[in-house]
Amino acid sequence: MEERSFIPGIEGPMKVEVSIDPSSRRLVDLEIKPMESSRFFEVILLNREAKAVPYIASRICGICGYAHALCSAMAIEDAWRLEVPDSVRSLRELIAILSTVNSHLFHLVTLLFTWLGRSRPISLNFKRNLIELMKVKTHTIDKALNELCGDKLHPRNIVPGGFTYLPSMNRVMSTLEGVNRLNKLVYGLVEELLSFDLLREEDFKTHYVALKNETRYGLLEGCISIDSMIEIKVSNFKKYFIEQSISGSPAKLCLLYGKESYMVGALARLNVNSCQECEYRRWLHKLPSTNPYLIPIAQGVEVMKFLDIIQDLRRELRDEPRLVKPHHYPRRARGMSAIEAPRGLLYYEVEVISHKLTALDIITPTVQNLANMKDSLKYIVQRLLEGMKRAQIDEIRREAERLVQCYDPCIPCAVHVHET
Amino acid sequence: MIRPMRITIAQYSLSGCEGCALRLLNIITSNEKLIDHIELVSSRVMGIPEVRQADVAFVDGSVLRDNEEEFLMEIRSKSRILVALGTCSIMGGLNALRELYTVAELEEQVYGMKLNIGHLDSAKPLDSIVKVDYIIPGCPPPTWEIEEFLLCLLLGKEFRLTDRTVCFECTSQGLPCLLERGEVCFGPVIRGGCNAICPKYGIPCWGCRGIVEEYGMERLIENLRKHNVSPERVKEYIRIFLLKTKLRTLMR
Ligand code: SF4
Ligand code: SF4
Ligand code: SF4
Repeated sequence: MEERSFIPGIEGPMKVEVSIDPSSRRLVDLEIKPMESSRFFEVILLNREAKAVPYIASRICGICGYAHALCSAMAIEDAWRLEVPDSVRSLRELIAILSTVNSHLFHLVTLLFTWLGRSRPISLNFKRNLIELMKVKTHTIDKALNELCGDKLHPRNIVPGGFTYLPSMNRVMSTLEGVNRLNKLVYGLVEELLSFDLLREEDFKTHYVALKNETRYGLLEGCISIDSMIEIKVSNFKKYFIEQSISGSPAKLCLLYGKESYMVGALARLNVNSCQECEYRRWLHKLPSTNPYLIPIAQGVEVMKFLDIIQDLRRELRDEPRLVKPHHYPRRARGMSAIEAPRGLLYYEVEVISHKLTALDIITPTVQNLANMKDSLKYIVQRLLEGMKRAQIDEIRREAERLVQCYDPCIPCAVHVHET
Repeated sequence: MIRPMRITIAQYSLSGCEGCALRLLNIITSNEKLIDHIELVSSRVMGIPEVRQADVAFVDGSVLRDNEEEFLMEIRSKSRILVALGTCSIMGGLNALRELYTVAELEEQVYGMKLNIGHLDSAKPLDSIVKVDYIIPGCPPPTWEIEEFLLCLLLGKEFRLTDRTVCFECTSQGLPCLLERGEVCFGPVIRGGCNAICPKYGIPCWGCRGIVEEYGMERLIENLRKHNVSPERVKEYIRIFLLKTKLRTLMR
């Protein structure tokens, strides 16, 4: 049952095998093996009426179901050349923010439970704060998502063109009234995370990729920025990012220019959006950074930022019609969309014939982060081996586990370290 | 009043989106009434990945890979009560759609190669492998129902799913009927308890909570025909959650 000794984390198991040579203290080999099974959504979604696609696509992932629903709807709109009204766009932005806050907080709380449980007893006071945080989240963020879309995990009303139904915006606004109470609790959470002695100063270098938007924090619209230097259109995504299958693995790998690993997610977003004025940036020392141990801190910074943005968006909420349909459906057309899911860039490419989906390609954040996870693990293991007098397997295992958990991947794992 | 007792709970996920697991964990970490009476002894997500002895094990997802069968049997042997949580674990749900193809076809189409990782041709619900004591259906199940189940356990009360249909819950809220507008809605034969949440949000009921046996399929089919819903469209929507149910006969 070795395969079941997973690194705890969210969604789907993964195994990391590290082989080291104790005499030369060198890393011999490092393999990442996802142990999940594929659910073949790219096949089971085909030949369906477009309106059912976001509903089903959401079930790809329990934690970023909203991102799949939104991204699939937007890709179909792109194929239909359908422009949605501003009211739909701003509501979608609010939904993306609420679901990202939900995902980040869940990740941070589970991360702390895991790390604290293994290193020191969880103090009653701190446990109370975590419970309080989950409670406030349930009564504000979760409740608003339930109100807005029928369910905080899998939205019901998101379709290409907008929303099939919306509740009164007054109701939504009132559920979000208490959201400020989260500020202090999240602050405490991040401070606690910072108390862990992680390898945050390490200088692991890689590319970073995130959406860039001229006027706001890039989440649903914009171009794709590579290292804050190159900007490409979403429609050119596949010219730069090349996906490949790996024999024996249910997870594919996506590489920049087909050969280099890169990072997506909260830290990449903060790098690209270079929020100079953000007061929480001090938690991160210097940006840009691509040290994966900083990802949870970056998520904390994003939550603090998003809590402010939620207040602004609340003021924009009005009861307005929010569903548009194309004047005529195209005979055959392709469409693309790239949005920021909680864990990073999510890309959908679709082909539609009239109102039916006929071809689909989905590139998830985990697929994009996987090669980078492997490269950063190699780097860290090698650094640990070099820095230590004796190769201490337990320490290597612990750091590698923590590193994977920081990515918040859809496929966390078990680390087996072998001496060769 | 809740008796001052504690129960141990284990949470396990097989193949699915893990939405069911997140729903359960959210309840366990935030419901004030329950928090002091529950001890979570196993959950990969919460940092305890080992299979441990527990009063109640909640298992979500279906068996899609050969290694999951053995895992499920180990869970069964260590759990006093085993609960199948969510559509995937009870009737395969969306996972069952793989049965319309062969694994080789699916792998070829998605990966362009054979993976050789023990993918099964079918999506096995839990009760095809081990004894299941309770089911809590839904994709994901409603929060109130999981809470109710836990309260019943703590109070020593019997837990029962409602036999009301989604249609009953829909009409009693006075919602506009989507079937009458020519949409494929299975609400007339589907188990309620979700408060008809999909019709309420403008989407027909596609049946995630499964069929209530007593309600005649014939009436549903007649109803769909009456509203000029083509059999092709009905088949398309059975191919969401209901592939492993009686309604599949419609596809033949
Ligand atoms: S039943 Fe639905 S929510 Fe639960 S694991 Fe399966 S797909 Fe996810
Ligand atoms: S929409 Fe569906 S559930 Fe509601 S009344 Fe019509 S058939 Fe019944
Ligand atoms: S309305 Fe139907 S599909 Fe929607 S949650 Fe209820 S049973 Fe499931």
